[in-house]
Amino acid sequence: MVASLPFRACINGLLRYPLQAALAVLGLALGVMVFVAVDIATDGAQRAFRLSLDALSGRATHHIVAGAQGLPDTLYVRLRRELGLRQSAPVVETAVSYGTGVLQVLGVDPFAEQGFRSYFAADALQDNLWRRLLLEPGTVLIGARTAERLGVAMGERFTVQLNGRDVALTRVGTLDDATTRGIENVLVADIASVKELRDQPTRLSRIDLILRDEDADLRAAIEKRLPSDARIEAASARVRSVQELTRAFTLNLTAMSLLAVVIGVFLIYNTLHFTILRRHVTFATLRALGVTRRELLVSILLEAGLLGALAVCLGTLAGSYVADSLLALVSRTINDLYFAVSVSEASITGATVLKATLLGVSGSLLAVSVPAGEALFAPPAQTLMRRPIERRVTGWLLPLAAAGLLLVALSVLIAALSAGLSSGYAALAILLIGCSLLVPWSVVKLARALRRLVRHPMLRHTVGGLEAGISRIGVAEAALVVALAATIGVTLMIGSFRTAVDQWLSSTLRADIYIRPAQAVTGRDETRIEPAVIAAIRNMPAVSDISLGRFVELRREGGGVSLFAIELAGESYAGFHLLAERAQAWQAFDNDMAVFVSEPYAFHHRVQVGDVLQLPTALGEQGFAVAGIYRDYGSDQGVVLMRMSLYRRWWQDPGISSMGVYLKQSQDPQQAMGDIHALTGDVQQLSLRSNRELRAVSLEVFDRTFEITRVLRWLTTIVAVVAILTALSAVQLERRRELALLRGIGLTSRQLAGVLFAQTGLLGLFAGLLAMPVGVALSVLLVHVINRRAFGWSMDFVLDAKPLAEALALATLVALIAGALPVWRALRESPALALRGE
Amino acid sequence: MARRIELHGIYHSYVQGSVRQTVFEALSHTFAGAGSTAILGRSGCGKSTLLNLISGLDRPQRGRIRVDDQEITAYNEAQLALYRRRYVGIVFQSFNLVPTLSVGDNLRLPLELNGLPAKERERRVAEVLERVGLRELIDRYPEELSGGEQQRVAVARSVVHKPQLVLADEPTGSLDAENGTRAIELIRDTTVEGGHTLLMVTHSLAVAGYADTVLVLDDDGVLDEYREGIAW
Amino acid sequence: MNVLHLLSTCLALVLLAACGTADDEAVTPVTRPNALQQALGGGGGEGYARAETVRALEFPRDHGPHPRFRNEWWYYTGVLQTATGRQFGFELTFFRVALQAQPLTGNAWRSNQIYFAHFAVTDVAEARFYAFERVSRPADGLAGARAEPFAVWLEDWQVAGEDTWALQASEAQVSLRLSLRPQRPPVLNGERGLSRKSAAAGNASYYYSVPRLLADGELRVGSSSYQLGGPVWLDREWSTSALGGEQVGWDWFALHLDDGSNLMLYQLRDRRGAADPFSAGTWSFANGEVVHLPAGAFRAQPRVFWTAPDTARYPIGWDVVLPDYQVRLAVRALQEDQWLNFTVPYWEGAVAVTGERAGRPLQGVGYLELTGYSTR
Repeated sequence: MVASLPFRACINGLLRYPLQAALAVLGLALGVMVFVAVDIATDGAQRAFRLSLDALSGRATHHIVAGAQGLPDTLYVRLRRELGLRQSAPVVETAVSYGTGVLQVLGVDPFAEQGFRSYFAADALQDNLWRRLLLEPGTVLIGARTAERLGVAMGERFTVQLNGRDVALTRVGTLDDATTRGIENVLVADIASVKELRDQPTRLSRIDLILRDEDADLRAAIEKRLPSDARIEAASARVRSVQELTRAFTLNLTAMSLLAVVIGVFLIYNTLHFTILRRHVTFATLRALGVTRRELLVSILLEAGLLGALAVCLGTLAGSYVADSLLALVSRTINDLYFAVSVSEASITGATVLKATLLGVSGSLLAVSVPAGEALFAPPAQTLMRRPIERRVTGWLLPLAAAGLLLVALSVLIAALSAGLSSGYAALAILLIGCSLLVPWSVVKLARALRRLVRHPMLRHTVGGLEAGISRIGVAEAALVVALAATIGVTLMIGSFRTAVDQWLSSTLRADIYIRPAQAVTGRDETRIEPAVIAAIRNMPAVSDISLGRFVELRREGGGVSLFAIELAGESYAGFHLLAERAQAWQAFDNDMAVFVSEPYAFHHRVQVGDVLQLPTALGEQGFAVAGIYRDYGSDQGVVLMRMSLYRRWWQDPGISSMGVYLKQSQDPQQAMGDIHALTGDVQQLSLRSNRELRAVSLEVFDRTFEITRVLRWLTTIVAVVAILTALSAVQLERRRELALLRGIGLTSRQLAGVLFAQTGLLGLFAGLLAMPVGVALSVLLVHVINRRAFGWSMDFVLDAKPLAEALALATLVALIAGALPVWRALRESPALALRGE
Repeated sequence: MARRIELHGIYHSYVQGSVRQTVFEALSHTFAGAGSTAILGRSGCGKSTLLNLISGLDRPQRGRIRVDDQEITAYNEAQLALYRRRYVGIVFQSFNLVPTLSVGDNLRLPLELNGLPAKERERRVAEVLERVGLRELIDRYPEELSGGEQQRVAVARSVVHKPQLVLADEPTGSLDAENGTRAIELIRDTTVEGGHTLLMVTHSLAVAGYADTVLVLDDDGVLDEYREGIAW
Repeated sequence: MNVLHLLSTCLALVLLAACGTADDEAVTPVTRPNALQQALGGGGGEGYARAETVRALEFPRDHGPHPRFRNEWWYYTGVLQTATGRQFGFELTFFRVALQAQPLTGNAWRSNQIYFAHFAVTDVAEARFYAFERVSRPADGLAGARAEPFAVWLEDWQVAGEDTWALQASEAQVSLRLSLRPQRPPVLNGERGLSRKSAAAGNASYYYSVPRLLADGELRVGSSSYQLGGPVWLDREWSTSALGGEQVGWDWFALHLDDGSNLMLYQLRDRRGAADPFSAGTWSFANGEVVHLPAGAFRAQPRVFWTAPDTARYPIGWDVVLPDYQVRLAVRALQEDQWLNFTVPYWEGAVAVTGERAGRPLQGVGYLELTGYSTR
């Protein structure tokens, strides 16, 4: 147990520096806030999606799923009639756009629903609900919250867009929100209504099953009846595949947020180190009075733990507020890149609080362990006798730097020899730690070099002060360097990435106009362009050529495969940049059972040119040779590219999801787009984009994707600013007597301020200078290791001077701002008082 | 209660800068019996080190120290801390009150460490403050006191837990003449009244004169009886 | 037998049961008959065909569905025996209900018709009763009925065939397969098949029976399998509206007697429990003779009662008297619990008959249906 008075003696000692303590708590709280917000946001987005999946799956344990075409109705009928399979429910799903949002439409057979879903409120039996649902096309149930948000009243008819057509729906009832969490933005209708909405009147999206483990015979009987492209999938597999989909994305965000926490921990270290040094005499006195080392240690740890806990409380609270805005960013990015998810709110979970607490408190305890050890193992007799504690000021710099160098080397080794994303992050973390260990030594070296250059004694003193204060300032300086380096690294990485995407877009986008059905939902299999529309456009006089694309998701064990079937116009071929290919790759692509795969696909599935891909076709599993690997930044999961005729033969699907239109020389795209609208508007509403627009939109999505990264980067920098502020004010406190002495020997306030600002400015400048090489190294690692391992994208590293210069300016500015307060305090204090001592 | 402090063949040195300073080569001495003893010595002769060795704040590199039946040189850090909190009271030259605790709490600290019940603690604190004449300052903080007052609090703290041994290191060193006299008188009187054994070190013959026995520690680390006119 | 009211109520509740809760036990109590009525499209039945006049029934044409009428069913019941004399009762019923008169176009799953079916087996020796219910729409052949070749089915429950009908139904651990051979042409109930249920014109049904189909086949219960046979009763009825406002339920007897005759009686009850003057019966004989029994020709007195778990009290033992024919029969349930705990509960079960005709003993087996007793 901690005796109360020794602990009070400790904590009172800390509270004598309320600003330092407050800043430390603030810094760590900011770090925790970033972490908590990111955790809530990513977790919230995933949970919302999982919840809606759960709500849509109900109690189903398995799904029968198939490829783009879905399942034939007759399969369900056979299961029911031949196997008497009651635990089966047919589902037809689609998505429609309403305003700017997306609504999932779930078509179910109420007679088969028992045991699966419980959407229908007990008091739903009203106003002919059942009759209308079963008899009237387009009748739907909507959750009360969603209905309210959409502003759709009971009985109201409203128009949505499906596949570029307007579709009228009528709300005839209310889903039971209370029992169906996660059913936001879901419309439930009778299966017949949804079938009528879709173009495939005799197909089901899936069949839900409730299968127990012991139903192996039944399962086998079901499997015997499945078409070749269908299979039974565990309900949990869908959730897993979703998590898998966003794993790299969320990992990246989490890594960024951890950086903020680490910098926060730096801060705690800095403050506690400072206050503990200030209390050396107190500790020695307490020990002279018979307080044991262990009792003191417990007091110090308790103090650090309390600081950490306070920071965790504040950070968690702030984080849960910030999470909402972050959530918007996260879910928008997930919407752009992965799947339609609508997250209206995310609340903090116990797991997040636990993680934050562990991080914050253990970080603080770790931070305090070094100075605490230093204080406790200093011989009390010497401290009490005011004999200078032997501080080999320069002694520890070199070993530290050597250790840092070793870590940097280790990081390079790990990056070079390992393959996983986690080890990539490990290399990144080790690189940052190594570099931060190099910082104090480098600052001293820089200061010495500078001192050699200047002759003026005042300036020499100024620079010398940095060197002398390195034991105080070193950690904060390292934190600032790490934060700046992260900023530089991430900025350079995004810049390189953007350049690569831009180049890729300009080489890939060859057609003048791109067309797909007007619908907000991307990648939906049933999205298709009407054949009449295609024919009409092909025959337009201004059109020289067209290319056609069909994008489908194939389901197979262990996740989906995106298949892109193309019928290329002559010019389109040049748009594909093959990274690896076999001889006559294009000839094989055009004539053989051959496909190309995108770079991420090859990376994720470890596919090489010459391998054979097994794909689930409508006619059964079929092997396709990989003739080439092409560059593609469009999907981080990867795409299999196939010629249209091959796709049609094996999947028996004539649908077209997108087309590119090549105009004859000197035709105006805007004019042509107007003509196409006029020509096809009656048949189908199309989304037309000119080459330029599409490119702009793509880059816009790219920029949106990295917006959250930008926000996190700024938050991290703010934490670093707090760190440097804390450190500088600590140093100035430490040097009160020295500053007073300077004034005593006749320095004016202005001169003193000059000295102090020069010192802090130099610290910032040094941090900026040191952050440059670290940032570049970090960026190289991000581009060539992290991005490659997370997404499978390769790209060239582009060194841009602007972020480097910005970081330098930022660092100097930050340091000057951070120095203002201590300077002000130093000037305000009477030198006489300061000289009298503590 | 015989208080005996035995020093056997103490060797002690420390490193200052890059030079090793030897304080004691082979010091042996036995302080026997109650009462007060003053050790006279010049600055840097090792007086304070001697006290630190006896209080267990420092350890000799060689040799043994026994205080009564306790061989403190064989103690580990925790045992030394317990020895100090029960057996020893220390008055420092620079007072060394805990700046973050009030006068009362500074006095309560040794009592709490020794596990005295709250009621008894309050009684003793009141009593000892009465004795040093600072009762009204109980809630003040050290920085609000004058040097003389601080040293009187320090004296009170050194005896409040009724230690066998009170060690005083230049107790008047930071005080003016008048306050110094008051402080040394107070130390002598309280230790005599409380029946504590007092061992103090000082460079001042006048201060040493308050002790029953006066010894001299010369620059070679040798301890000897004080004789009139001796050069120390 | 007339099960209109039952059907009316059932459909709405079956829907509720299917959709309202996934919890098998939790059943939504419905206390809003108006809403029910609405859910069924109002009481009017606009646009439906009605049983207003006598029309010639033809077979096999009229074995098939009559979708222009609102309700229709195929009702198979029988007490079967193994070679060792072990008795099992069974019921397999297919109901067709139209939600509206006008057929719907659009997707194949869009239909104005709904089918549902009940399957029950009574294991007399073990005193066990198994009952199951299914609902489906006639989409893509999930459920349906046709005249030629005859078939009525709901998923894997079905009766089909031309000269001989194959009946099969299985659920959980119970599975029944029978082949059914008609002995005589169908017996037309009421006035040449037009069965009036109340004084109002059109409150009537077309109603015929095939009272004695010779059945043999196999019943499986769990891991046991039984070869069995016996007489099976088919009741066929279709109508749009039948019961009058005051009529709340009925008691229906379908008895195979050991003199080779088949006796069908139904007794409509009003709110006070009194027998309705439109109660009636049909007595058909082995030689093809058919006797129509008006309400005054028989008396049925409840004698034995059983209280179902839902507290409804069912008269499961009756004394039946046909004074003009010197017939006195004691009709007793083969076991008490033959209660179909569906969303609208009713009791329908195998009964034994003992008694006499003009001093000579007369015995038999049959089925008794008791509806309108549930308080739910």
